[in-house]
Amino acid sequence: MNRRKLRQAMSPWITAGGFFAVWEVACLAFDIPQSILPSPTDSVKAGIEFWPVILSASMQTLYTTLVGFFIALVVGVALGALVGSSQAMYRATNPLLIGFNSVPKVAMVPVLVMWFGIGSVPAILTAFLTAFFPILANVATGIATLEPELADVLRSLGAKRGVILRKVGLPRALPYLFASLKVAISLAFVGSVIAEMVASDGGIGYLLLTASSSFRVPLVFAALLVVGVLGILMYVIADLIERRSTRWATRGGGSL
Amino acid sequence: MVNTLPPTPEEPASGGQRPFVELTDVSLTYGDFGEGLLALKDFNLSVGQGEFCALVGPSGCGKSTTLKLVSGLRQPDAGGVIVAGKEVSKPLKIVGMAFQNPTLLPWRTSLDNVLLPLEIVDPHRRRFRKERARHVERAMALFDKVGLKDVADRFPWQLSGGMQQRVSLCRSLIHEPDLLLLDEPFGALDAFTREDLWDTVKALWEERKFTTLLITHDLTESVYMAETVHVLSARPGRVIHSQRIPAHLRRTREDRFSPAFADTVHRLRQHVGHAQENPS
Repeated sequence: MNRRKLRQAMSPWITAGGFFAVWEVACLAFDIPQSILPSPTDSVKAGIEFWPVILSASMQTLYTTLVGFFIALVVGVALGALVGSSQAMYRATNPLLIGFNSVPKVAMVPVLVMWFGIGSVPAILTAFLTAFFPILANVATGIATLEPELADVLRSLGAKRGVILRKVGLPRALPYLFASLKVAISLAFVGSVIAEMVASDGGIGYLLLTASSSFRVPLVFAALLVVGVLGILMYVIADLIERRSTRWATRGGGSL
Repeated sequence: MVNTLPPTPEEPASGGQRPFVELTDVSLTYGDFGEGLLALKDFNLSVGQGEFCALVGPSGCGKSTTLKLVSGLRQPDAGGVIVAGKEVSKPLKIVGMAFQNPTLLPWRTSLDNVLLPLEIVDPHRRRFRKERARHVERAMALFDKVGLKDVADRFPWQLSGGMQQRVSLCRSLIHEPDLLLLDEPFGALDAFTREDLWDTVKALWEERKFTTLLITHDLTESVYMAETVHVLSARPGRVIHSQRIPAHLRRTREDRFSPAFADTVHRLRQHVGHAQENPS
């Protein structure tokens, strides 16, 4: 029993370790040049060599990502509650929202740069734009899928809209919200990095661009690894918050 | 032995008491599009103050619609709905409702689920925090009666289906409604749990005598629980037969196995059979 638990706890590490081992061995075995695919050790070496650059770049990206994400959280929950609590609102806004969501966010970056210039603002706004739609859609779904019988009970008690939203709608939407946060935080990263690649003077995206244009491929991979690790970190934080606050949704057991 | 009332619900249904719920020539069509679904037509029903009455009938005959009309969640297209002497024009606050699905909130304990109406309904809402201790005491007394005392701080998903349904019943009664509307609350339970709950609800009703409308598919249930059973026709629904069930027929569990009880159920069955064959 204990062995099984240990194995379960170790399995993600083993999988990740295996992935990097295969990568390393493949690079060695097929003698792949560093300029095409550097091995993990080469990438880590580059990472250590350039750590001050990578650190400041990742801090910049983390900053734009988190700011964009929190704006997305606030706007997404507010609009989601609005859209989800009324059929009419849902019908009226849905096509427009889907349209907005379908526009590739990278296409918005030049516009944002035109408005706000090069710097953190376009990255923050791109992160916000990519992350907010899943939050909105999930919160709206969570609120709109209230059981009709329960709605009847509440209405017959003379419940006002605001009270229903506070007592039932929002708590009910919480698991949906957290499911979306895990997606949204990753999307916010994507948004930030893309914006930095198109128009910025800092951040991981900018580092990726400059490193690849000067053919420092190991540095590119080091930066990519950092983005991946940061993504996992954010996901884990979102997951922890979720487990604490919506234990009832997983019936007290663990999730995923 | 069993007096069959003519299907004219105008006359007081329950021992000369004034009607508490009265539906007169009610019609209702579902759907806003051209071909609406006629759910009720020329529907008449009268329920006395404190009476326990059951509505039975073929599925889709408008039983649930009737409850929506009585509770004011829907307005009729034609005809009048009067509850407690007033024309119903908006959702009534004096009703408690329970459904086949217990619809409990999974993030609240049983106790907090039962307290929900008090946090919402108006005279209690404003003072809820101050009077919480008193409300909890009342909820616990109710729990005690329905056999839930030990599970007050459990979450709904930790309870069996029967227990959840008990919690749902308590939630429908905590604000001491004058009118209890039950939409097949025993429908999804196993036979033994269902029998237990029959007695629980009966005991609660005996104690407080709130006017009760029970919708059910189960004729045994209707005869055992209700003072009056109304048989509805197939859609569009209306009452085609009303029958008083004498109290001596249904005093204990054992009574359900008496020939007179079986006879009554049988006769009701025949009326439901007619309803299925001849949609009006």
